[in-house]
Parts: sequence; structure tokens; C-alpha cells
Amino acid sequence: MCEKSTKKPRRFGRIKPSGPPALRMAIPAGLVVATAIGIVLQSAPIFPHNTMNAWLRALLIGACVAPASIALVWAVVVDRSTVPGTIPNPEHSVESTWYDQAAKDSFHLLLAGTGLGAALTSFWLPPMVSWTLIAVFVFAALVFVGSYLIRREP
Amino acid sequence: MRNRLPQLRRERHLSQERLAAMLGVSRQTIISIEKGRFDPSLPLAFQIAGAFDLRIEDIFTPDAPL
Repeated sequence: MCEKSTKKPRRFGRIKPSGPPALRMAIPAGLVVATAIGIVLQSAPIFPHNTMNAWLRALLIGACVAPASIALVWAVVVDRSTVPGTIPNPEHSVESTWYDQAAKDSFHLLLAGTGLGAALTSFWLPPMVSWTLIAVFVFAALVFVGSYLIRREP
Repeated sequence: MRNRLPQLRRERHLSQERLAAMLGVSRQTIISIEKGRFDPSLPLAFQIAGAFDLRIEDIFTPDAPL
């Protein structure tokens, strides 16, 4: 059962049932992560002809990745039981089965689509298209093999 | 898998919402189980049996022997 929160419920939950709101930690930590990503990426040779000031470039990259980094930190720090509307056992709910089924279907379609696509595009389109599809196919297949082997371990 | 969940729920005057809250699952899960579209996991089946103070086989019966 869901643990009762001793404090007023927050839309985005809390770090623990009686702890501070999760966003209070997620926003500053996410901004720090975004700043670090901005500084690292601005020096990467992604845009070799870019004449923009380095700090401005870092600021722009950081601003673009900030929402995602804040969301990522929030997902890590939030206590799920403190988010309004959540259920204690989602893994036993039917929605979890729907998710698993959808993921399985997507994976099989991805394999079929990229495999067939790679074969067909090799006739008419530039080789880069076919190689890209092959790379996606191989990556998905390797992830599958890795995941299967990890679960097979006793 | 067939089940007696709707009948048991009615006997105990439990709404789908209330039973879902007792089991910690979504109301859609109860609806799907009752309609026979979703077979609950073993832990959930034990929880359901526990909620009605019955055994799993008193609530769920297989459609056909495996």
C-alpha cells in the first residue's frame, strides 16, 4: 500500500514522504548537469565553422538540454509513492503488460523494418542509408543478446 | 482463465475502485481481470485471494487443462 505522506502532497512529488519537494533538488542539480554538458559540448568539434562566442555556445547548448537534464534528475530523486495518482504496484497492473507487449512489438518491427529496409535501400539509395539501417539492426540485436544473456544467468 | 471476481466483489459490496486501491493496482486492471482479458501475476492472484479470504483456485479456474 501507498505510504502516507506526512506533508502536503506536491504535484511533482517529494524526495521522501516527509522530505522536501523533488523539484527543489531536481531544478538546481539539472541546471548543473546542463551547464556541464554545455561546457563539454561547446568545445567538441561538432560545428567546425561556428564562429559564435564559446560561452554563448555553451549557454545555448545548456539551455537546450536543461529540460531533459532536470527531468532526468527528477526521475532519479523522486519517491514514486509521493506523486499524486500513482499506484503502489504498477508492475502487477494490466498497463504494465500492455507496455511489455508494445515494447516487444516495437522491437520486432524495428528488426524487420531495418533488416528489410537495409536490403531494399541497398538497390536504389546511397550506401550510407543501407549502412545506417544495418547499424541500427546490429545495435538492436546486440542489445537483445546482452539482455537475454544477463537474464539467463542463474 | 475464468474467475469469480465480479460475483465475489458484489457479495462483499466492493467497488472496482475500492478493490483496486486495496490491491495497489489500477482500476483498469480489475476491469480487465473481470472481463477475462488479463491473467493476473501470481503475486497479484495471491493478493486477490487474500483480500477475499479464499484460495486462488476458489477464484480462478483455467479455461482448459494445459
